[in-house]
Amino acid sequence: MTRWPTLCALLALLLATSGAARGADELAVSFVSPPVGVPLFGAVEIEVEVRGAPIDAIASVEFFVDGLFVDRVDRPPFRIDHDLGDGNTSHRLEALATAHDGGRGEALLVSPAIRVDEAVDAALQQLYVTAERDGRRVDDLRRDELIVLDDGVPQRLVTFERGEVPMTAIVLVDASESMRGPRLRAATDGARAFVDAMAELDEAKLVLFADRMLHASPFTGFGEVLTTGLGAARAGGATALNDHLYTALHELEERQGRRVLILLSDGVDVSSILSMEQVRRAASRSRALIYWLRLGGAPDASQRFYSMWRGAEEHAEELELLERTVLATGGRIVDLGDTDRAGDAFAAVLAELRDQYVLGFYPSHDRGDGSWHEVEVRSLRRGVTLRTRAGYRDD
Amino acid sequence: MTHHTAATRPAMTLLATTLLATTLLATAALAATPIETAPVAPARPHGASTIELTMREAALLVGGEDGGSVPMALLVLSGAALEPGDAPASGSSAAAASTLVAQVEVDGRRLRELVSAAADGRYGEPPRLDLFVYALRDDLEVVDAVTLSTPLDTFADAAAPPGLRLLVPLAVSSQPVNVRALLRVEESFGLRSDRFEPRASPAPLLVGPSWPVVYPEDRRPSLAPPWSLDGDLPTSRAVAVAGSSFIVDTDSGTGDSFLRLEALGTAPHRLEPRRDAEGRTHVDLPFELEPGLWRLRLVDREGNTEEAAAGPALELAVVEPETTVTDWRDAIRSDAEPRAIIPSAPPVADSLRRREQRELMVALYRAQREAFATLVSDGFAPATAAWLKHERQAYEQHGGDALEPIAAAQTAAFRELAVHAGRDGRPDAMLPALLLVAATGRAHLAARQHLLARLALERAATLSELWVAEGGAERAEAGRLLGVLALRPLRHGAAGIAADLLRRALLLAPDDPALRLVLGALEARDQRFDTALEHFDDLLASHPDHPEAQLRRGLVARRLGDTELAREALEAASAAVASAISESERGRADWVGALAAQELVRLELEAGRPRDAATRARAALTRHPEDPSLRVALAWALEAAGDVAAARSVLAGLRPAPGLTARGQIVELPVQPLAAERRRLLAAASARRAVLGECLDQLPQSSEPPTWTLEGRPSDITGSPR
Repeated sequence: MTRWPTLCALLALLLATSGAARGADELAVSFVSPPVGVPLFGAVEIEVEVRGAPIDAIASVEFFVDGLFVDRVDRPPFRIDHDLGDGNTSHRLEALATAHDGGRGEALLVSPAIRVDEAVDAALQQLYVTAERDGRRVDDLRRDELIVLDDGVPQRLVTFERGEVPMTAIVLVDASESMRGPRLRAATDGARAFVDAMAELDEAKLVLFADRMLHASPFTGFGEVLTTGLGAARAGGATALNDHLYTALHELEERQGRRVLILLSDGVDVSSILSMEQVRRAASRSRALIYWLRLGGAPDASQRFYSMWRGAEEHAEELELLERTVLATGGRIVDLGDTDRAGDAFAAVLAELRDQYVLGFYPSHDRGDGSWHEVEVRSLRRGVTLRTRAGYRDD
Repeated sequence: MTHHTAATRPAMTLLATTLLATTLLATAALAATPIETAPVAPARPHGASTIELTMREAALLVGGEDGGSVPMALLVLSGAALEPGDAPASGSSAAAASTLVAQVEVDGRRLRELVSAAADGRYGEPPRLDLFVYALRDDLEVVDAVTLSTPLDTFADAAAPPGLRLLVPLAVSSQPVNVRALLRVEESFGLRSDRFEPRASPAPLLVGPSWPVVYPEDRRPSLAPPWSLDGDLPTSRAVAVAGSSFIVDTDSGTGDSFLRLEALGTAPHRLEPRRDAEGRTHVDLPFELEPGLWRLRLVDREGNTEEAAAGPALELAVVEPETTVTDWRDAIRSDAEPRAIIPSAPPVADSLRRREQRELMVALYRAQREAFATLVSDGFAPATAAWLKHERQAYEQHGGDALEPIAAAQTAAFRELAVHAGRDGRPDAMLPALLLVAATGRAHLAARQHLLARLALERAATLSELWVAEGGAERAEAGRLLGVLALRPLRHGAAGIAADLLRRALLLAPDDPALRLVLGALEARDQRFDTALEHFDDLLASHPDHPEAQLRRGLVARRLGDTELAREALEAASAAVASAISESERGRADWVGALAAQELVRLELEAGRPRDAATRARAALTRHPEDPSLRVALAWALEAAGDVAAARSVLAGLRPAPGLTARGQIVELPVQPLAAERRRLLAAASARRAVLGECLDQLPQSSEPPTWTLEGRPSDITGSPR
């Protein structure tokens, strides 16, 4: 008699197990690889184990990365290789197993990003300031000669640096049809010169874009890696400037330290899905400085651009908004007659970045409500003009 | 017809001598050496040409007559060295006769104009300079040919006076050759031809080893390096200064008292010979000859002037001393440094490659000519097959290097075609030729042979319309041909011309969906949204499941602010895409579906529904996982919904991608429907002969072309040829 409860328990377990093999949503899926809690980069082997049904009863396993379908495997091993890229970002891996009888099961693995600066108080605001007098940069300002106003309220500076502050840059080069031939060569030569002149701790990523990304290097400080493959790049296609600006701003947010976005383009967007207003909003949340090497100089009032998605007035508004967006980040517009001067322009931007002051302060009225804070930096030294971002969003 | 009698033979003997022209008195210094005095055509861009004018210029090209809007000169030389220090070949040896150098001089000021005109409002590469130099025998057989295609900024310093000088070596046999040089910058061209008769030729001897004008040593123009001269002025055309005195020495030995020399110019002069103490026969030139081009010819005692009796004529250019002959005089200053030398100390490999290319070009040209020879009698198919076969072989053997020779050979062959079909207004030949152009258009396009392509296309457009029956299949066929024609200007950005052709095409084939779709898209691109919408509505009335028409209707509706109509059309486009069944439909549907999805996502975002937008974008990405715009749209939707980390994850998946995006496709305009039509026409060429080639069967088999003209509307070309 004393053995009945044990037998009943075994019978119940047996029934439960056989039921799991038959019913829907009862496949057990678990990740074999990659391990949990590890940041993921580059090519990664993703493998899952499926239990709860005989192997030949499993119809397929579908893999999703960051919400997007990437591959499907019909028989074991349920394993794929996938390139997750070099960005320091969290990834969401999902596997969905389906049995021939309709049974399903899924597993989720979320990998973390490396958070180097987690200890840094996010409320610290950093301003990159360019100081000039009579068109020449001023490199001897003292901390007590600068006043930072946050929504008009003076702030106490907690950091003050100048000179070789490391930076991370994305160089976005328009390689659409209008850049075909020598113009693209001159532009990429200019970008090469920029890369060659980077300091030891600087990092950059080089992107050539048209209506799609044509070439992209990883973030690196090695010039050879940055410029590998540039020679084979060919211009062609329409221009999706807004989309690539938006993407680059997000990529920079994942990086550390001073972030710079250098754009070489005439600025005319004809095929982005995003509008410049949407880019402006992304830029206002970003801490990146945008420098625009404007091909062809400021557009003539008589120049009218049309595209399938925008009329002449809309194009003019987009261009004007791009100008304002660039200036609001604290960057500037460098007008180029043609790409021949791209090398000089890149060099000028780099020189300006080297001479920037980096000011840090904790906002005295940090609300954390996503509101916009207007920022102004004043110099007590006569005749000195300062340029920095227009403000920040208090997220 | 000349009958050679005993009486004429002494004259022939006499004429078969060396005509030695010697300067006795030069009254003025020769500061420069004008090479030609042909009037220069006024500059006029081809873009402004009517079809008739354009065809006249095509005839110029074909006929080898001097013309064009680029002032240039051509001088054919033998025995000239290409490099300083080279020993010049002897003018009297057979070897010298096998090596010619064509010296092409181009006016620098005109080049500068062309550069600035081309740079106006355009992006991209600098204009290219294409040079084709042919040595042709009298039967138009190509003996040798050299082509050069290079960005004009290669000669940056030459875009000003004194201009550009190019030296082109040509290998020829000992036969006389005609040398033609066609220089083209964009759509402006200059064409010059010159005849060269090798000095070593035993007869006729009017152009013997030392016949031309010989200048006194101190007056001889010093031709700057790379020329290295020894002895004679190496020109095939004598140059004389007006006002100077000359004696033309016939060196006839015994002479012939009945020999006379005629100078033919604005007013003919008759010159009587006299005999000197040594028995030589001289002819005094009168030297009231006006500046210009004069021809001197001998007349025998019976008055015969034919070449067989009196020998070929001698051309003499008479110029004013110190006077600008034309406005390009500066371009040919004799003391000018050469701007480019071809070849410039060529490495052996380059030299061999060029030689191979030249041989290839000649072979291709011959193939083209053979193909064209069958054009009228056998219709389109054999001509195209022959050409495509050679083109394919050339590509197989030479890869990308074959492109230049192919383009050059096509250029040359197209002249033949224009003679054959265009100049005399032969639509029966032009229609198959049109398809031939379509078949070979790729190489023309890649080689930027815009001028010749356009000549044919514009011509063919008119002919297509003329050759239309009152109704039936031919009418629609002609309409589609016009649509095919619209492809080329469309690809070159001439949307206005393309739209005009398409409108004309729709009059002939109002039910053709491809024509209506492309025209609607062009109207939309030019911001005429209401008109565009009408075209798409018309198209959808007969083809309600046309995915691209629905897509474009949706896009236009968005631009007009009609969100509901846009949503309805875009949903319909997506549904039509889903039901695509054929492979070609699926391939096309791919970008149509992606773009429709993008626009629907945008509509959701604009309506303030980011989560719905994200759902839509995710669903679309399962069908179009490589679409970058959909990824960006999904990222934006996620960010708008507050999930910034997820947005960044999606963006991190963006990778460099080849090919056009869906948005790129629509910016490019939908030429695929017409391109497909072009492929169909080519594939069905032989079957189409019954329709399009009806005229061909009715042609007289004579080699003489019928005397059709384009004035009026001859009944012969309205579908019932007689």
